[in-house]
This record gives sequence, structure tokens and C-alpha cells, in this order.
Amino acid sequence: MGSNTTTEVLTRNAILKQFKKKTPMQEIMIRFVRNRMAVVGIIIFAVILFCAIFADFICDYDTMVVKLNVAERLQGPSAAHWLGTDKSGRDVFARVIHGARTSLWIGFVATALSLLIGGILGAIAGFFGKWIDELIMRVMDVMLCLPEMLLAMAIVAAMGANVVNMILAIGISRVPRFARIVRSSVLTVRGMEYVEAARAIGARNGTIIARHVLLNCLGPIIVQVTLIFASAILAISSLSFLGLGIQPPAPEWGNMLSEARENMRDFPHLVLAPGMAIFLSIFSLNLLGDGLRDALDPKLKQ
Amino acid sequence: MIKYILKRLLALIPVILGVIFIIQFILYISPNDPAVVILGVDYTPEGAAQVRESLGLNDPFIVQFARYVLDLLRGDFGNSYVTGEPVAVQLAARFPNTLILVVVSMTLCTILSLPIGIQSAVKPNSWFSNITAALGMVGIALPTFWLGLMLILLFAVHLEWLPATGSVSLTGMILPAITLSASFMAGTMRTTRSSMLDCLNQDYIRTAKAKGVSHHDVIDKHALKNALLPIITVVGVNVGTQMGGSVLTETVFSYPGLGIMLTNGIKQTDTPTILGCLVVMAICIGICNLLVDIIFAFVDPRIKSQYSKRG
Amino acid sequence: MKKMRVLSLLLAAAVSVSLLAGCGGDTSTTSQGGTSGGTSGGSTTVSTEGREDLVICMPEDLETFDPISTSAMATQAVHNMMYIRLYHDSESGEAVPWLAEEFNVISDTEIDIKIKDGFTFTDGTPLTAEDVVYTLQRALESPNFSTLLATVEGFEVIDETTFRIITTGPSPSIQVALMHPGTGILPKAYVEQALANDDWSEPVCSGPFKLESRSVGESVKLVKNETFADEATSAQCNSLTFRYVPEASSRTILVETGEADVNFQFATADYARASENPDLAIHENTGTVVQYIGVDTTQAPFDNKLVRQAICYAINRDDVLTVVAEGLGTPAFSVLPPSTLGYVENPAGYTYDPEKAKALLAEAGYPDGFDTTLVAFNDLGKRVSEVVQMFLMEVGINAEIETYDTSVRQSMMANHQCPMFAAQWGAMTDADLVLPRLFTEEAIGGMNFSWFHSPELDELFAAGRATYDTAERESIYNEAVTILADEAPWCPLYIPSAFCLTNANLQGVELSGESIINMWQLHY
Repeated sequence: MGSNTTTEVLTRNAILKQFKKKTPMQEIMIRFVRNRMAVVGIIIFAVILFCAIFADFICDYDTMVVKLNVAERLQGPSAAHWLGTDKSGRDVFARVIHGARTSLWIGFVATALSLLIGGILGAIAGFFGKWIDELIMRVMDVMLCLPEMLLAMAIVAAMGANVVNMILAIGISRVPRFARIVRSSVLTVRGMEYVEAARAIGARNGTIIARHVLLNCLGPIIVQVTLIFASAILAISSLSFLGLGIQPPAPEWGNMLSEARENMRDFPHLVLAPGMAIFLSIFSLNLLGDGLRDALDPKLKQ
Repeated sequence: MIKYILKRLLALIPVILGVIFIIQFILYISPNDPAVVILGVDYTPEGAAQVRESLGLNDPFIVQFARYVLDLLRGDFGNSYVTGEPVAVQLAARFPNTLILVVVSMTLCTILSLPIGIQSAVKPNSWFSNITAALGMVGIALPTFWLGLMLILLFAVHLEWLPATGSVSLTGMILPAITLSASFMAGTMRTTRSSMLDCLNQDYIRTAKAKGVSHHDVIDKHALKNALLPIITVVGVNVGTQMGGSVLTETVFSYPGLGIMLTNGIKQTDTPTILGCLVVMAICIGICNLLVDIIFAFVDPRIKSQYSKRG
Repeated sequence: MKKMRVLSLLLAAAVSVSLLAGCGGDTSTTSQGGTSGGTSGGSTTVSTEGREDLVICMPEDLETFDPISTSAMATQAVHNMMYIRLYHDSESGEAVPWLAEEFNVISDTEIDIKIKDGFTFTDGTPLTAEDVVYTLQRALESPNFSTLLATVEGFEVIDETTFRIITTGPSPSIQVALMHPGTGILPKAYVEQALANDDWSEPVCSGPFKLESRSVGESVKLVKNETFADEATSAQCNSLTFRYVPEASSRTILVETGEADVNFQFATADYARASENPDLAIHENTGTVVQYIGVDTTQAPFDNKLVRQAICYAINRDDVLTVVAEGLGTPAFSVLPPSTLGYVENPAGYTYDPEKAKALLAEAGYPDGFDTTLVAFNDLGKRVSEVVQMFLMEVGINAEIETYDTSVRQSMMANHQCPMFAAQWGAMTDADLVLPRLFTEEAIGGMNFSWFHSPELDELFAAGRATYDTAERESIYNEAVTILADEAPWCPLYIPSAFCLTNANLQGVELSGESIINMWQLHY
């Protein structure tokens, strides 16, 4: 996405000079806000997040999301049902809104899980080096040889299709990404003087990792969290679309798509709404991730 | 050079063993009882015990793993729990289909995204560059299966130009290949663009331009050659991800490949089938990574010189 | 510059999304434009002329070539074309003599069947009574079919073309039983060899078609069997290709675009659209398949009759039918379909009455309902379960749906792992081939998924088997059906109409209450 006319580089340098006296956090904030695409991303995502958090206030779960209403089935968009109704007469808008809650919540937990495991593994590998590093990273290499989707499917296949297993599947399959990032960040930071200094004054290994190293590689991790969050949301809907994820009647976008499939020719709104929801979540998170990367590390940007 | 290739080839073996180990371990700790699947109608506790014994399911995991690997060397993937037929037969029938799909989609992806990426690097900030970049962002975020459904609606149902289901034929391949390549096109395009931009900003390019080398030659001979490395990496990585993506694409288009076989295998808790599909895909991905390394060796002068000096 | 980028990004997103949305929107307009559309059809009408190679879209891939070891409908349909049986189906579900020439009841325990002369297998060997007896003996020993031949003790070859069935008593249902796809006749020598080598890949056929090629996960191609001896039922087209297309709307699209000629299992969601298309023909027949929710009557709370009855009152069958099958079928209150002897429409007088359901639950000791698991074994079962789940929720029963593949159904049932389940049962026309296979102690581990049986029913079943008098048998089965409705091991939901979608020009389409039959007649 880089744009690099000379004028822009110049203005950027000028801006950077101007910021020199501000705190790093403020600089990041300002850089982020200046990136309009990132702002677009964060606005879209904020709307989705709002829907997810206040889903119950927007639409009632029991009466609109899961209740059968045969009299009103397969309606087009109207004032009463903004996005129409599905073949069971359930309000598509309400299901999409509540679907956001399902997707974001599970995506969040799965991302947190993979960050936790991957972060610890990467930190251990990077900090201790030698055979520990070799062992952990070889295992990660092997896992990277299997596409995340396939690894997740294997885990769901073995453990059965339900929410907990899906979180495990998506979380574990994304561990190598975090492990690699954390490890390389740790390796970079480890050699730096202040860590040596911390060691010299007798800080214990654990404290060193926690205090200095991890805090210093926060930037790339935040960026990666955003991108993996997006890929987790896609994975949730993919697995559910294949019938290996969330089970009915819980509303979930991939599930709604596979349910609507047989009616899609006559009622395209049934596949459009959940599809757009998935698209917008991933789209906004990707924009957000790109924006954060540029804001956190201006050197990366061309 | 041969030494380098051999070295990479040897390094592939532990990786593939590792993949088999991981997948088999995941399936090993599964609470599903294979005897239930195998016996079906005829299930009795005694019969189940017998089946478990005859399949060696009571052996320690490491013994089962070794046995599987040894069988694999003989081309034996075991028998399906559901049909009782050898998994290898099914794999042999379906794997070529998936491979063809992935290759076609990779080709499509590369043919389209390379020139677009180069063009938008040559003229950054043009309308063309901005729109393709934006389309790329959209492409990455479009869920594969949804795009597939939409393409069916448009090209098969509404316009009736192409068949709604995928098959190994010229027309049957178009929609699945487009669907599969859409999200990768964006990634390849972005990488091409940014690595081209990197090169174009290098001093030697400016020098070449200053020397009066034609614009065309600068792009072709100097910049592209150096920009190729990251592009090859992305394409190589894509093969793996596309293998994963093919599962969804095949399901949407009822395309007779490994993806549907894997999904069915999972729904039927047919462990040998699941294992077989995943192992074949992993081997295929491993080989692709190897190919990328080899191509690297030819393109990257650093590796080339390192090995040509010695051998 | 920045502004332009954001703008172009939004523009691109808007354009691509509206393009996709537009295609959807356009489609729905054409559907309303309906018959005058003409875009879809024109070409197919021309190209069908003289077409000799037909394509049939199947919802499942072929499981096996061994007729005994499957109960999958799609696989059986293929077998029916490859292997001749003593009787074949008719639209009304009666047995029409095929290989059988004469059926003589010698005594209450002996029946002689004479088979037609001159039939050969595709390996050139003549088809004799010995092969028939061997085939039937295998069926008798297989758990899938032993209940079908409940009265049969054994078979005896009398001469080249005659064999005897030895029974324990009168067997009024035997002809219908011998129509079952599992009784497709294979040569003894081949079966023994195939069993020994565990290799069925090159089946020896005896029917109007023989195997040409098989592509696992893709298709099975049968070609006309030129040596087939029966003029009336020999193939009227050159070949049949059974193509595996798991997705319902894809199957319909394939027939619409002329790529396929028959959609074996038509999804009712496409009914309105397909019926407006002049190039398509929807064939319809009254259904014989009962879609039901069963419970494991040995487990609490379903061991309580009141709870089972409560479920029968809690579900609005019309709504289930509407949501799952677009209302194309009839609501069911009885375990039998109307075509089966002994049918009573609503023996226990069930209605949709959630208040009564709640009262019954309270009476049974579950005023606040309970939690349970509802197991489904295929896509249809899952869809039915989703609707049923919503109704159960209304009366306080919280059912969690679990979906498994059909291949694990038997063992899950045998292990009491299905407290509640969605299933379907394609009933033959004789109640003797239905009820005793579902509700006796012997059928546990077979098709008695509800674990329900009673001495009272056993007596009735024995009585129904002991006479050839149809009127008497009818009243006996009427009584059995009424008992079953009251005990409610099943909550019957609806009987879907049988459908088949074909090219409008295709001739010779015949439908049973389940699916398209006698496909040798298909031709343009």
C-alpha cells in the first residue's frame, strides 16, 4: 500500500521532526490517525464490535434469532425485517448481528490462545537459544508445512465439532506465526545493551523476558494479532460452512451461508448479508493491521 | 548445485515425518472409536476388541506411527474404515484433480498479478495503481466459499456461460480456479509491487536510467530480476495455502478432489482417509517448498556462488 | 493523494460488492419473469434429440458393488440397474415379476418359485436357480435383511429353474420382500471369489445394464447389457452415468443447463422455479417415506410414555413440513404411510398443542422441561432437527443437535448414544415388512432404534403374518399402529412427496414413493 512520491516522503520527514518532542505513544497515535484507510478500517470494525457487544439490546435473541416464525419465512428486506427473513422465518439482520458476537468472541479467544502459546514458545526459543530453540522452531516449521485450515480441520476431526474444539483448532494452528515473530523480535532485542545490562545487575531470566524483551516486541505482535484475528474469523466461518464448527441454532455467518445455499437462487439476500458481514470484518481488520504496522514502525513504510 | 539440491531434499524427510507424526498424534488422542466406524451394523463389544487388536490400535503410539510410515513407504495408506477399500486408490483418483486445480489457479494468479504488480510499481499513485491495490484489499477479505457461491449465481445460473459444478475440463475448471486464486492474487500483487518499488529505488537502477538505458530494459533486465526473489517466495507459500483453500473451493463446486474426500472423511470419522489426505497434501507442499528453494538457488547469485565454489 | 486512495478503495469495494449483489438480484428477477425467460432452455431442447447417453445426478457416491452390504438409496438405485431381481418395483409399490415366472404356494411352509429361462450373467455363465438361492441365502444371513425375511427358514434348489422357500408359516409379504434391492442376483462363483479377495471392483452383472467404468468420488458409468434376455425391461438408451453431485441446488442447475438429464434427489427449495421452466419436468408421487423423531425408550426421561406423548403434542408438523420441504408432502401422525396396509391417519388424535405438551411434561415430573441431545445423521435430518429443536424449546425441552455420518448410526444406536434422533423410514407396502422390523426385540441392533417392543405387539405381528386374508390383516395392523401412536416411541412428522427432476423431453420416467425407478425405460 506504500505510496512514495518524494513530496510525501518529505512531508513525512517533516512531520516526524515535528513530533520529536512528543511521547512515542502520541507519535503512533498521530501517525495512525493520518492514515485514512486505517481510520476507515477502525470505524468499520468499531461498528461491528458495537453490534457484537450490544447485540442483545439491538435484537432480542429468543424471539428474533432462534424462534421459528413460519408465517414470515423467506421475505425480502422490509421495514420490519431490514434484511428479510430466512427459511425458518428468522430475522436475517438479527442473526447477522448476533453472528458478529459469535465470530468476534470465538475469534478473540482463539487469537488470545495462540498468542499465549506462540508467545511463550517463541520467547523461550529466542531467549534460551541452542537446542531448545532448535527443537521448538523445527516443530513450528513442521506445523507451517500444513496449511492452517487443514491443521484446524484435523483437530476438529479428532476432537469433534463444537465451540471449545474449534477455539483450540484455530488457536493451535496459528501458534507458529506468533512463535516466529516473538522469537525473531526477542533475538533482535536480546543482543541489545540494556538487556545485557539487566543481566549484569542480576535480574532473573524470567524477569528479563517479561520486562524488557516482550515489551520491546509489542509492535509487531499487535499488528499480527489484528491479522490473525481476521484469519480466525474467516476460519470460524469456513469451518462452520463445512459443518465442522458452530452448531445450530446459534447464529454464525458461515452456518447461515451454508443454510441459505439451497435458497440462494431465489433469495440472494440470504447469502449476501452474512457474506458481507464476513467480508467487512476481515476487510476492516486488515486495514487496521496495515495502518498499525505503518504507525508502529514508520521505517517499514516506504 | 546438485549438492545443494540433495541437501534440501534430505531436509525434507524429517519435515514430512514430523507432519505425519503431528497429524497421527492428533488423531490418536481422538476419543472416536475406529471399531465403531468399521463394524457399523455388526457392532459388538467383542467384535470391537477384535478389530482393535487386528488393526494394532492397542499398540503404543510410537509403534503405530512407525508402522504407518513403513506402510507408507510401500505406498500403503491403509484401508478406509467406512468402505474397507484401500485409501491409496481413492487418493490416486483424486489427488491429480486437486493438483491440476491448484496448478491452474496458481498459473492464473501469477499471470494476472505479476504484470499488474509491476505496472503499479512503475507508475505508483496512478489511478490504475490505486484501484488495483484497492481491489487487492477487497480480494484478500472476500471469503473463498462466498465468492464461489456468487460466481455460480452469476456465471452458471444467470448468464449460463459456465457449468455450476467443477470438473477436470476446460470449462469446469474456470470458476473453481478463479475462486481459489482470488485471495492469493492480491497477496502476489502486493508483493510484486512492493519488491519492484524497492528495486526501482535502488541506486543501480537510477544509475542505469541515468546512463540512458531504455525504460523498458530497466524494468525487464534490472529491476524485475532482482524483484523476483520475494515474488517466488510468496508464490511458493501460496501453494500450501491454496491446498488448504482447495477444501472449501471443492466443496462449493462439488469438484472431485482431495478436499471433498477430506471433508467426508472427517464427517465419517474415517481416520485412514483423513490421515491419507493430509499426508499427501503435506508431502506436496513440502515438495513445492523444495522447488522454491531450488529456483532460489538458480536465481539468487549468493547461493549459486556459495555452492559452485565448492563443487 | 491520500484522499484519492481512500476514495478508490471505497469505490472498488462498492463496485465489486454491488456487482456480486447485482448478479443475485438479477437472478431473482428472472425467476419472477419465469417462463418467458427462455434463456435457459432453448439450447437444451434441441440438443436432447437422439441423446443416448444419459446423466443422472446422485446425492451420494456409490458405496459398494455388493448389494447386500448397503442400505444407501443412491447405491441401491445403481445396483437395481446392474443386477436383476425376482421382482421389480411399480409406481404403487407392488411387486412386478421380473426374473420370477411362477409363484406357487405349496403349503403354509413351502413356496416354489420358477425363474425365467435364458438369462445369463455378463461373464457368459447362465443364471440358474442355484445363483438365486445363493444370493437369497446371503441376504438371509445378513443383518440388514434377515428381518425382511423373518418367516424364512431356508431355500432349496429343485432344478435348474425352480427353487423352494421353506418358511415357518404363511408369508404373505414375501413377494414384496423379494423386490428389495439387496436381493440383486450375482453369480455364486464370483461372489465367493470377491469375498475371498475383498475385491468387488469388477462386478459380474445380470441386469439391463453392466458396468463400464467407475471413478471413485466422481461417477459410475453403466452401458446397455446387450445379452440381457428380457425384451420388456431391456435398456432403451445406450448408457447411464451416475454422477456424484452432493449439493442439491447444483444438481438442479445441472439439469437446467442440460448437462444432466435426471436429478435423482430434487430439493424442494427449487420447486417453484423448476416448475415454471418449460424445459424441465418435475415428476411427483405420493411419498412412502416417514420422516420422524425417535427416542431411546430405555433412557430417562424418554422411558416415560407421558414425555413421549408430550413431544408428539409439542411439534407443529405443518411448520416442519413447510420449512424443510416447502410444504410438499403430508403431515404424519402414524408410523405408517398411507400406501402401507393397516394405515390409520391419526390413531391417537395428536394435534399441535404446546399447552398440553407442557401439562404432560409436568405430569411426568418435568415441569421445567429437561436437557437432551438430538442426533441427526444426514443433511435432511439436520434440517428437520433444527426446526424440531425450536418447537421443543417452546415447551422447555432444550435439545442440543449433534450431527454424525450415517456410517456410525448403527453402532451409536446400539450403544444408547442417541437419546433423541431424527431419522426416516421408507416403508414397503406390506406392514409385515415394516412394523416387525422396527418394533420387536429381534430388531434391536437392527432398525429398532427406539428399543421399543411389547408382548402385545409381538402377538399382533404374529397374527398378521399367519393369514393371507387382507381384510383381517388390515384390522390387525390398524390395532398395532394405534398402540404405537399411543406409546409414541416415534413422533412421526411428515411424509415428503417423492420428486424427481428431469429434462422435459425425457421419456419413461417412473416414480415410486421414494425415488425414480425402473430406469431402463429412460430415453429421449
